[in-house]
Amino acid sequence: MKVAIIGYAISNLGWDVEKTREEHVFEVAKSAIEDAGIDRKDVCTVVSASTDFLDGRTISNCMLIGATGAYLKDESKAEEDGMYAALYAAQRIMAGVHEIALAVSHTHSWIFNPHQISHYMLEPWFDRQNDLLNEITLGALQARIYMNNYGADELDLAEISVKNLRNAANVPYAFRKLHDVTAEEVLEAEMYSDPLTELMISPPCDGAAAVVLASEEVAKEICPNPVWIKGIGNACDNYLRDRDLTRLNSLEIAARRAYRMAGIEEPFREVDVAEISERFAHQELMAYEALGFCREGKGRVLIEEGMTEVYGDIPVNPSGGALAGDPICATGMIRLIEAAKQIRGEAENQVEDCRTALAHAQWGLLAQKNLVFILGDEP
Amino acid sequence: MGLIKEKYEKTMQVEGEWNVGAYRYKAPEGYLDEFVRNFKDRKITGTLCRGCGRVYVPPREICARCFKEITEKVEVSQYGEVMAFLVSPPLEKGKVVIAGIDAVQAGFLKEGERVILAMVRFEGTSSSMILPLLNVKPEDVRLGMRVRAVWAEECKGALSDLLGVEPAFDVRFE
Repeated sequence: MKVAIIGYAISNLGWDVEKTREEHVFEVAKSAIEDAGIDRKDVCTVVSASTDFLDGRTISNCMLIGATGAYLKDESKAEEDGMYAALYAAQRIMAGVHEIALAVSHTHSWIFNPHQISHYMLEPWFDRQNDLLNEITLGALQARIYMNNYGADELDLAEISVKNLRNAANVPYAFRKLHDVTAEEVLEAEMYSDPLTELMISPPCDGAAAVVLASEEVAKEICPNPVWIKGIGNACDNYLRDRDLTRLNSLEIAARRAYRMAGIEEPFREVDVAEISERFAHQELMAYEALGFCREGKGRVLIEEGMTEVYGDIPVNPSGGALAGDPICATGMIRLIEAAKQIRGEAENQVEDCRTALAHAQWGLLAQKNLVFILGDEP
Repeated sequence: MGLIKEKYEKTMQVEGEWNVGAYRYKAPEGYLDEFVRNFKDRKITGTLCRGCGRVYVPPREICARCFKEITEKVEVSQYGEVMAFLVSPPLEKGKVVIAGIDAVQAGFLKEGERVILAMVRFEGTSSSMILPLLNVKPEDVRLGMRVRAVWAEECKGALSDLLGVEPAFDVRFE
């Protein structure tokens, strides 16, 4: 059973937006349904994604039934990234139970400090006894391990930020756009935790996104330009203390599964564009290797040679990636939508002849869980 | 509950708190019995998986790779290797609590000093611990450097007995 993306919407990303959570979700759910050319009554199932901690209430989807259009419909919530909501929606369609599904995700980072919450993701008996540990300091540890093992330096990390933030300058909804930023500026920005400076860390912000998925039969009938889901791979690794932090093992496995399902043998040649959720600049380098775009440890060569620029051989994050704006639960879903926009030829930084696109989402401390979608222009 | 701020024309800011209170986390058996109590004898204990031979420190009760319960306990070396490190901003009294003790108040770090946290893999183990790296300047820390455990003068069998690690220059690693 094939599944296609037939409609999508991304809200403006901002800090302290003048909207309530419900309005924000309503806005994207409504425009995604309109974009798909359907009506609320055609939607069979709704999957939403957000975290209770960042919403400041438990079972936070209960208040969103009106906004997502799930009133008296089949509905569930994923306490994960929005791309997982899209995964569960796609699986419901593949199972043949539903025809059209809506996946919605949102986060209002402004209402509570997200980095305070990352401390509560740590194991409570030992790691949480140490006040200095949170997502950023752990990210710095991971960057150090990676840089030491493979000879990458601060400048390589800065180049990733430069590429993504410059790409974001053309994207109207992006949160952090710096069209003439230089590597020196990135390195001289405020140091959060050595070696990570402010511009190498994804900025939490407020945002929402929604996608409409449909079965093959329905998509062919109602949508003139559906984007097809060709491959899906998902893998979850151990807690950060028990795994090898130098590489994203779970992403490598997820990517391999997605490539196999999509029939891709040489990702570097067959994937036209990749959209990656990188919480920190070094994670993009690690993702190049895990996704098989280069050999292990050679991620820095791709950025040094400019291969991952929009005009390069394998453009990565033409939308700016998570470094340009990180509405925590919507980040992965925005990557999925940006990949779909590339296939449809609607992207702001459009890649030429784009027929196969890759989208990636991560969840958990230091990318513990990884999900990869391969999108194509034909079923 | 309280203050309502009229900040914008369209939205209001309603302040609220989410006081869920204290949790009582249940730690795995090996954590308390073997790991923390053996600190009294200045010993570091890990668990050994029968399936793959990996040693976990602090102890894990389940091996994710083998999907097996781990029951065997082993003592591990006091020496380890720095996998990664980070340097904190200058310390303030009462701000940074590590393993239940205020580093400044306890006196082993001065106010305004920087803490170096190191991800340490003790010899023969497959997991790592994040511990303060003591008695060394930040510029002298090297990745892969050999370190050894530093214990409190009087060990009571509590998590705070293990103060951190310090460079072990006397050991040559080949």
